Amino acid sequence: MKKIIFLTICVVLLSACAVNRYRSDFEFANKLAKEGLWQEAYYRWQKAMTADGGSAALHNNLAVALESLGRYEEAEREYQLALKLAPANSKIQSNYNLFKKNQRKDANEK
Amino acid sequence: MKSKILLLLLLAGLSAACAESFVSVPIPFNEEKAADFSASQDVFFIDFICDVPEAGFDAEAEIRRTFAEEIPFAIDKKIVLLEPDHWAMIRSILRRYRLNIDIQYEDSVFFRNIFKAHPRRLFFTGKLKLEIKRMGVVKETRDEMGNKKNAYETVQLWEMEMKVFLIDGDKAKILRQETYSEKLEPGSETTAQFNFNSMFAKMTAKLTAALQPRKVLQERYILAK
Repeated sequence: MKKIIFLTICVVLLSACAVNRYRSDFEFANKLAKEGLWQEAYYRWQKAMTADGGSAALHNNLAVALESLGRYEEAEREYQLALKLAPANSKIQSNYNLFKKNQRKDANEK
Repeated sequence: MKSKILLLLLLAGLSAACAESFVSVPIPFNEEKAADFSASQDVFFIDFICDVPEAGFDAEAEIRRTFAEEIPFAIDKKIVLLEPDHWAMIRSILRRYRLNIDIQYEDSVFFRNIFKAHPRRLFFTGKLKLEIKRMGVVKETRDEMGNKKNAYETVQLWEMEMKVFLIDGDKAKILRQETYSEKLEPGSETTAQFNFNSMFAKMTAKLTAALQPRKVLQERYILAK
């Protein structure tokens, strides 16, 4: 019985640590992004993704980072994942619309 | 009392949970370049058609110097001065009669021959018009007693307009066309060369900025939860 309680406590503590880790990476990445440090922000959001599995916000933020780094194919994939998880989110939709507009402009210029 | 506090707490919690949490951030993009100068074997400069009054300064030499020494920094490529046969004569005719009309480079036999003789090259050329007008103005001055009085004076007004063409020789097509104009009311102690150079330098700065790829910012939202 004691062992079960001990194991349960361990699991709870570990998951709390994982959530905490996710939050700290996620929030730190947001701060980096505000400073325009996109490569570093991308790295932190990626780490948060490993801990969390991916929320709509995380996919959206990763997409923005990838877009600013010029990795457009990956950015599109992340935007689509974000919209799949939160189709009604106006901010993600706005980001995606602007992204698509740029893509169309680039295609026309080529 | 307790239920009211609980209700308020519940409402506060709900509003906090519903509040959208996002930040607007600018992300950089490279705007399209004027031309791919690195892909061009050479960049040539062909003298401008200039309509400039005789005022004791050499406008053409200053334009040439600018394109040979300053513009290369903007495009990261050396610019070679090209002096096609008969161009000096053609320029003097065009200056007199057809400065207001733009040359149709793709239809011009003269230019097509130049482009054909220099494949895979880009060409800078253009035209410049300077007018020095005299204007009567009323200026407020003071007499020996310190009393204000109005005096009629004649001042100069310099008006300059420049058109620059960047041409892809292989296609005989204008890649970029820039038009600039400047006005200057020169001081009585400045020389004509100084006046011209200072007006032309302002135009050069604008051209330099136009030729460089600029970063533009676009807004995106990053979400905080």
